[in-house]
Formats: sequence, structure tokens, C-alpha cells
Amino acid sequence: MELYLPIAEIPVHIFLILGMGASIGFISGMFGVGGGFLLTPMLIFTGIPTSVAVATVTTQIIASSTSGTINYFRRGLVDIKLGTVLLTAGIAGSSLGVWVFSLLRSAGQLDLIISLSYVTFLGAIGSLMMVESVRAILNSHRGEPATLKKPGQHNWIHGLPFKMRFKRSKLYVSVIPVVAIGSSIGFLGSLLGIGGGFMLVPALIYLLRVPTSVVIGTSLYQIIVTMAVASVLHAVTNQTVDVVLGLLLMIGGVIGAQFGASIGQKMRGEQLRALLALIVLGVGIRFAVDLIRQPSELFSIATFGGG
Amino acid sequence: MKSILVSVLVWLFTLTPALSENLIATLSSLEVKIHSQFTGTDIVIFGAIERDAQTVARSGPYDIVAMVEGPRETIVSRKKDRILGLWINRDSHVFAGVPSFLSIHTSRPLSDVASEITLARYQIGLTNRVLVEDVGDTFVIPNKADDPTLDHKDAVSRLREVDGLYKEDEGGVEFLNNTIFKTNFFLPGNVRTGPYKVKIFLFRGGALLDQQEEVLTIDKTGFEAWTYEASRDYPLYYGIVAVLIAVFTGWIGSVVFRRN
Repeated sequence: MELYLPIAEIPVHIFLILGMGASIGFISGMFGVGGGFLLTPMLIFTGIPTSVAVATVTTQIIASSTSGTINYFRRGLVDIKLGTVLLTAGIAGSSLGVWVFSLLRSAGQLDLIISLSYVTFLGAIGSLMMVESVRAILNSHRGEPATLKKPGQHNWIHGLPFKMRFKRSKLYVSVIPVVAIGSSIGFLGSLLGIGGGFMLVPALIYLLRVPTSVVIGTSLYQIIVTMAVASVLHAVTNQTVDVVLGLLLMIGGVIGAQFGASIGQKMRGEQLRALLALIVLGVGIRFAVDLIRQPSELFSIATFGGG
Repeated sequence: MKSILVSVLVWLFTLTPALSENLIATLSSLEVKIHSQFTGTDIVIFGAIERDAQTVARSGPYDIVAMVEGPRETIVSRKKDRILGLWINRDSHVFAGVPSFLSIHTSRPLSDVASEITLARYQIGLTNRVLVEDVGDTFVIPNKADDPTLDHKDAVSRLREVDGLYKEDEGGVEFLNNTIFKTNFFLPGNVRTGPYKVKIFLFRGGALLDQQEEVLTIDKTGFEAWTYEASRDYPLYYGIVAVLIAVFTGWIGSVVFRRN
């Protein structure tokens, strides 16, 4: 069944888009990431113009994150206070990111920077998470306690001043690292056109030692607000948010997110992190391959403005 | 279709005789409305060649060239190059006034219809039509060997052909008898909205005898038009509504699944 998209100006298969939304929603609910770094390339591959794909994905992320957040909130697994501090810093970082974005675009090397950033961040974060989670899985098989669950364990970050108490996360920590994490995720997020959940989740787990279960709900909550700001900005500046495409993705995404969240809660933290690391690494490798391998078509064309 | 044919014929016979060959053509529709189930549409062009008794007999058959040209746009083409082992966009060229859609149907291969210079003069044919500046009477065929952007121009034609937006169909115009012809254009689902120029040329023995131009309008209708206009006229409200829809969909989802 085909449906014409009013902003993208092309017809699409309804079930293809619903299916994409559902699979990304599943991943989103399971790991607490928005999934934009997966969905945007998928949409572009089906022929949706890049500008429409980037802008519309933000609305889909809002829907699946809202659904996931409510799910986690009911179980008391959202740290509203921590999330609010993160996203306040995040909005400041986003503004800086938008500014750098336009600088790079006028220099004509935006595509290269985005590809290289994807490879660098996805590769680095994916590898780090993979090493850590495999070690944790091996430790738990040997019967040793998982290192991250030690409540008394501190690192240098926990020695910084301006301490703040985050009850849900069982955390008493300086706001400096929280603001730093929030603003750098916001900066990279707006620069790369993604929510940044895949960077936020490991940052909260490894740097702040927030329990994995709370991290996901908190990350989803933070993503809703950042993506809402991004959606409105895209609608105003580029007019490329396609509500029909967005709604199809949302319906699929919300259903997928529910299944993802219930499976995610049944899995052990280190297994969850290992799986997310695999996905992040996989996408990073794909970007790297695209940069290194000779493409079959060297040329690409784009229309000026809008689509 | 038959009624159109009949009306063309009736029209043909009621016309007063002209001095030489005349071209009379009509489109099955001058307006295409894009609705939610739009996946493309066919446009039929019917036409007849009218000549009077005094017309000097010329050798060779009549040739028809029918061309549908979409709204023009400015595009940028980029070419990837290998730098430090990485394939990245290097050369880029901006082309203005490129047709967003171009379909050329002819009754015979273009090389049999007219000489290269004549075809270029009227900008007929994919390679002649695309990315060639309109220079009026002093038209010359650009020296292709000297054109540094030639590979980019070729790439634009090639990529658009892959997308179904550019097409050259030699033999796509069918003669029903000596003077009546028809051809069928397909406008795919990814066409841009706006005015489309439809040009029909009549050739014989390499000379242009007559031409006719019509305008076909492609426009969104109903919900599609309304949504599109809202996104342009009230972008802030459009964005806020999109966010509210998203939050609402997410909430509905969690409520529905809570009961399970």
C-alpha cells in the first residue's frame, strides 16, 4: 500500500516505513537511545530527501522516547533532576553545535566531518563499551561481582566541588561533570543531527556511575526535550518536517519501544551494554567502509533549499 | 481516449485550410492533482498534422518530437575523490535552470529527425537540453572536449534517468495513420509540483515545420496541499503541532500497552 508524503513529495510503502519505525523503536526502548543514528540513514536509503529524513526522525524519536519514558517512570527508573540538569546544559551545547554546523557547511566539508565524527565516536564508544561489558560478563560467569555495581566505588570525578544529590541515581556528585557531559552531548548531537543517546548512556554509566536501569529512563527523558527543540527548529528553519512520514514512523516506533522496554528490563545490564556496543560498532564500521571503499557512483546531486 | 481522438478528428475537419503544414495537438489532461494515493500518472498527447492541397510535397515522413519539461531548479553535483585513502566529496558544480523532469518522445531516432545543430538549436534531446544555456539566435554547439564540467553534466543526466525523472524514448511517438499521432508520458510519484511545459515539434526532412506549446500543472490537493501550505506559512505552529502529535502518540502507546 502506497501513501504520498506531502513534504518529502514522494510516495512510500506504508508497511516498509511502519516496519522501520518498529525496529528502531524496539532498539530505542531496549537501550534508551533515540536510534536516530540508525533511522536517518535507513530513510535516506529508501529515497527520502536527506533534509526531510533528518528533520522528521526527530519527531519519531520524541514519540518512542515519550512512550519509553512513561514506561520507565512508572517503575521509578527516571531521575528527573539529573535529566533536567543534563538537558539544560544540552540546550546550551546545541546552540554552539548549530553555529559550528553552519560554519562547516559554508566551508563545504560538512559531509566529511559528519562521516569522520560518526566513525570516530561510534567506533570509540562501541569499542570501549564492548571491552567493558565482555569483561563484566566474564566476571559474572566467574562469580565475581560486577564492578559497576559497587556502591562505594569512586573515581576522580567524584572528588570535584559543587556537589548535588540525585536521589534516584543514588548519587552525590559535583554538577561540573554533569553539565560538561550534557553540553558536549548537545553540541555533538546538533552537529551530527542525532539525539546523542548512544553517547549519553555510556557517559552516565562509566563517568558518573549511574545505575544502568536508571540511565535508560533518564536518557530517554533528556532525549524527548532535546528532540522537541530540534523538531521545532527544523520546522522553522528548513520546513522539512513531514508529519505524515513522522506519524507512520511514530506508530511503528511506539509499538516497538514497548516490546523493547519490556525485554530490556529482563536482561542483565552488562548483556544490554554488550548488545548496544555491537550495534554502535556495526554502524561505525559501515561508515568507515563507505569512506574507504571506492563507491560505484562517484557523483551525487542535491537540490538547493528544502528538498 | 477514444472520445479525445474523435474530438481531435472533428476539430481537424472543421478547420479552415492553412498555407502549409500545421500541428494540432491536445493533452489528455492539463492538470494533475496529487492526492494521498498518488504514485504517478499517465499523460496522453494526441495530435494531427494538417496540410492543404497547395503544400509543396516534401520527401520523407513526418517526424514528431514531444517533450515534457518540469519546473527548473538549481542543483549542485558533487564528485567523490580519494584523499588520504578516504572517498570524500571534492569537486562540486552548481547548475542553474536544470529541469526537474524531462521526457522526450520521438517518432524516429533523433539522429534521423534532424541534424545535431538543429536539435541543439531547439534544445531537443537529453544531452542537448540539459545544462545548456539558452543563447538565442547565435546558438553554437558547445565544444564538449573543452568543457571541464562535462562529467558532472553527464552525471546529472544519468542520476536523473535512474530516478525515472529523465527519459528519452525514440519511437515513443506512434503514428495511427499518416497524419495522426499519439504518445504516452508517465509522470512518476516523485515529480515536483508546478507548471510543466509540453512542447510538440513537427519535422520533415530535417526542417522544423511547426511547433506547439502547452502548460500542464501538477499540484497537491486536499490534505496534502493543506499540510504543505501549513509547513510553509506557519512553520512555528507546524513544528509545535508535530511535537504534540509525537508526545500524544507516545502517551497513547504506553496507555494501550499498560492494559496488556
